[in-house]
Amino acid sequence: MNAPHRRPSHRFFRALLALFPFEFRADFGSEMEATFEDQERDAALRGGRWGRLRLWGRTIAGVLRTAPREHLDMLRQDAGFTVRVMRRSPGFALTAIVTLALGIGAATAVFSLVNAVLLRPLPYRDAGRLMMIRNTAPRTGAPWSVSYTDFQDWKHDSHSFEDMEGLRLEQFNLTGAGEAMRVAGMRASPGLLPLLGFRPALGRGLLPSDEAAVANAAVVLTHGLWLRQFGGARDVVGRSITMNGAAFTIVGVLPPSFTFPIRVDLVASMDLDPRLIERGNHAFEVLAHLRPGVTLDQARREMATIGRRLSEAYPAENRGWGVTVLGFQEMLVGSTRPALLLLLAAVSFVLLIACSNLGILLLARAGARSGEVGVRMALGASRLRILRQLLTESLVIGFVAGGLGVGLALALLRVARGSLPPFVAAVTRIGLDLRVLAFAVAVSLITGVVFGLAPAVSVSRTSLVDALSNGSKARGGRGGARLRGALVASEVGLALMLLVVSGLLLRSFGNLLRVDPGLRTENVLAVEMGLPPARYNEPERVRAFFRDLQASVSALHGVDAAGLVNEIPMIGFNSQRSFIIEGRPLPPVGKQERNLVAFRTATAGYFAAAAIPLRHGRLLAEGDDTRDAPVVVINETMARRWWPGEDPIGRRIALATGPDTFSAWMTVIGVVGDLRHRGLRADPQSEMFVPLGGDHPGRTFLVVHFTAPPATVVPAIRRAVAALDRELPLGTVQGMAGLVEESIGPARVTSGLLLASGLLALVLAMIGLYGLVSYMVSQRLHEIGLRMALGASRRDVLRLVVGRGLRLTAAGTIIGLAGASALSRLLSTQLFGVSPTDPAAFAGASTIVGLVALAASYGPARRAARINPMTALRRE
Amino acid sequence: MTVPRDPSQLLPLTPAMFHVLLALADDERHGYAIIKDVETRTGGSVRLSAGTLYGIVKRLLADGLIEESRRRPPADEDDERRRYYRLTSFGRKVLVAEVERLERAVELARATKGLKSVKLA
Repeated sequence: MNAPHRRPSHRFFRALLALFPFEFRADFGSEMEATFEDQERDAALRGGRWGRLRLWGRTIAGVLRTAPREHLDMLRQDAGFTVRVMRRSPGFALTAIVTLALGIGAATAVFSLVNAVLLRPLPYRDAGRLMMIRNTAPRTGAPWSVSYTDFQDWKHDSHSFEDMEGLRLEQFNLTGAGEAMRVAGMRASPGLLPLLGFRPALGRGLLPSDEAAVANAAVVLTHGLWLRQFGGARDVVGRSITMNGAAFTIVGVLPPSFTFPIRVDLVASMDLDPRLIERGNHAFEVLAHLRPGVTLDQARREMATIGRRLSEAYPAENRGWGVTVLGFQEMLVGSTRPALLLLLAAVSFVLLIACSNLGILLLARAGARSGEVGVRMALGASRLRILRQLLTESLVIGFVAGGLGVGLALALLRVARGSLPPFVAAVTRIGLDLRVLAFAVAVSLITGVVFGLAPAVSVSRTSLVDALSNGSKARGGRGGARLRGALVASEVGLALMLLVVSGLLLRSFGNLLRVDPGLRTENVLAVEMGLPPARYNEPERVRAFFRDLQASVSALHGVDAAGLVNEIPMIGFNSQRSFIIEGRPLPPVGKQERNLVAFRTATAGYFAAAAIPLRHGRLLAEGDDTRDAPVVVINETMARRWWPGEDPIGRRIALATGPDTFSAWMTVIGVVGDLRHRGLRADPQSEMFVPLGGDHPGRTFLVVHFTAPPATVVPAIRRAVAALDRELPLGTVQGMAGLVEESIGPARVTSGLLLASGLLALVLAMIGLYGLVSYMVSQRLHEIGLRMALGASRRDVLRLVVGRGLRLTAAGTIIGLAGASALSRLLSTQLFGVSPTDPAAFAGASTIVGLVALAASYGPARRAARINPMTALRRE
Repeated sequence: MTVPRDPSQLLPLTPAMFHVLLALADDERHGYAIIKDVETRTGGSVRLSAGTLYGIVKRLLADGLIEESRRRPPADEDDERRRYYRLTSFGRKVLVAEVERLERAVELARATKGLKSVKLA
């Protein structure tokens, strides 16, 4: 009778039994073993080996069928009980769920953002291996565009990449398809679309033969342009359109999924005009896939070698130029990482606070429920059963809150999206994917288990006698009180950290708002346009057009001043040139001599329209563009940097046109105020303005200061342009104020979200503090009554209770200040004009926390001071 | 022990439950004996596995249809791990109610013209 246990089949049956819930096993386990042994003996007697096998089959199937049902049964019981328990104390359930939902919602929203931007690959083929290969400029080492001929050599010589394609952005005037319009184009080598992983939805892509075509170059439309401009007509393939005065043939239409960081309306085959592709013309960008197994470092080393070889082979064009390989995704989203991680840290803190609030609530309740638990144990419930019941309760809270949190996250995402710069938002699909949902489920599960476990364990440890005899006194004990105190102090600390950080960011953002962009932004608009080189092929024609345009727009009713410039601030384009100064030694090639200057071409009217102040000398004027002796206006930064303590007026500079070739000397005639061209955050750079005209300007902005509403001014400008050139379309019309706002939009959203997290954290921490102090009062009613009966005044009671709250706050403040000073150091790159140790932010946040904590403890304290000592004493 | 209830609330029984109750209708039995009895009674067409049986036993105990018996056989025939079960009076009522329900169902079927041609024993 005792032997069977040693048989392997019996051991296996025992193992099978482990699939049943513990309680079921405890009830029926040994009985089932006995039954199985009888069955097996019988089966062997009657059916031999086959009989036993059949029995085994039946047994395994039976266990697999019944065990899950038993588990489900248990869960249903626990959940049903949970719902009843929560109905009995809806206040507790509601507080716990709402608090946690806020935490989970915020965390899920920010995690979706982090997931979309930093974790998910860009929507391109093998995005993880997608690289951008760029030149580095002589002297400065700054990443730079590439020349077409170099790109061809790289493609031919390198082995680190499995493909390599080039592109160049080009704005087009599209005519011959309805009204003339400006479109954003991309010139691409034939393999670029396949490299990115896009196949045309209609027609074909670009072919190598397209590049050779001198006339009728091929163009592939994006889905958007196809719908907007061609009404989605399927017969558009084969149609001819005119862009910048040249004929193109539409060969295909891209699918809607095509995206690019910068707006692209169509992709055209490369224009291999000899001047455009000569080695010195850095006008292209190069994308490539790293060959599998090749590391970024290996590729960089190979490309650097190729770069050096080309410099030696073509010193006239390539001396000093280097080559670098950059991860495409990292290049795009790298700048958003600090802000996103900061937000993630912030919402994690909020979540932690919400969780520890739940922990405190559960601990406090655990004490209150020890009586109930005692009764259930007396009725035969096992400890494990109680533990499981309590865990189910916290899990139910976790999952209900998780569900609400995901809903909240969806709403929050709309706001949080704004923290991304537009070029990142363009290529990221933000939403709830599996990873985000897994995150939300994991968070719900972990909060449920971790923060439910400690209270559950402490309750289930309750000894029966203690629980029943001592009733309300056996509440968690001293250890529980210390744990609750530590949780509240940490909550206060985390909230303080967030408040300090959001204080720093707010002050930083305030500083940003106070930065003078250097030009008038109110009532100034900029209209983008481009003269087609085919029709404006003579300098005189270009000059005449701009002269007439400025004159006719300036004369419009409601226009105060108008002018033209090749690049307006804040839009992310910043042409730079190297220059030399007459009478000074040439800066040595390859040395990090920063003789770079931002290069603009402008008309006289630009300074008036944008209200750029003249500091010294004179502005550009009519006729400057045709002088024999070229002139230049520089900004204050350039004057200070290159002629400190001297008068730059009358000095001459020349622009580098190659490593050893320079433009004609240009005389400095005036100094103007600094512009924040690269955004409010970036320091002003050396900047120079030469008269617009002469060389073909490419893209140009008409800048207008208006006094009448834009709704009437813009159509008037359109008419004025059409009167000069009926075929010339206008590009985007942007308000200068809007451009400035756009440039600080992400900073505004980030600091707003952080402030919201900080305030939420404060509220949650104070709910925790309030709850804990109230709980403490209810626990010590007897003691307080006794003290008052023995002569303690209401004041003493107030001091006792508030003192407890403030001691916890003080502890939290110390944690918080230490944490904040560590955190803010990581923040320093995000800050503008504020030290990471800014005393105002630290002191301000601490004061706020202290005052709110005082208020949160004062409520329960007042209630305690008002009790009647006799009632309190009778209660025990 | 159990509050008087309406036996019809527990109907219909699953076939396996029905057979387990039937097995306990004449005598007190332990688990293996129930399995054997069901198998014999149904001519081998219903064979319960241990898992299925004790899932049912748990439910029947919880619903008060069966109870554990304290009577045990002589020690030389006994295995201390075994428990013996018997029908409660409520369980008997439920079993009778189920048999009546089945009877009515069979009568209904017999009275149906379309089924006349089918042999209904």
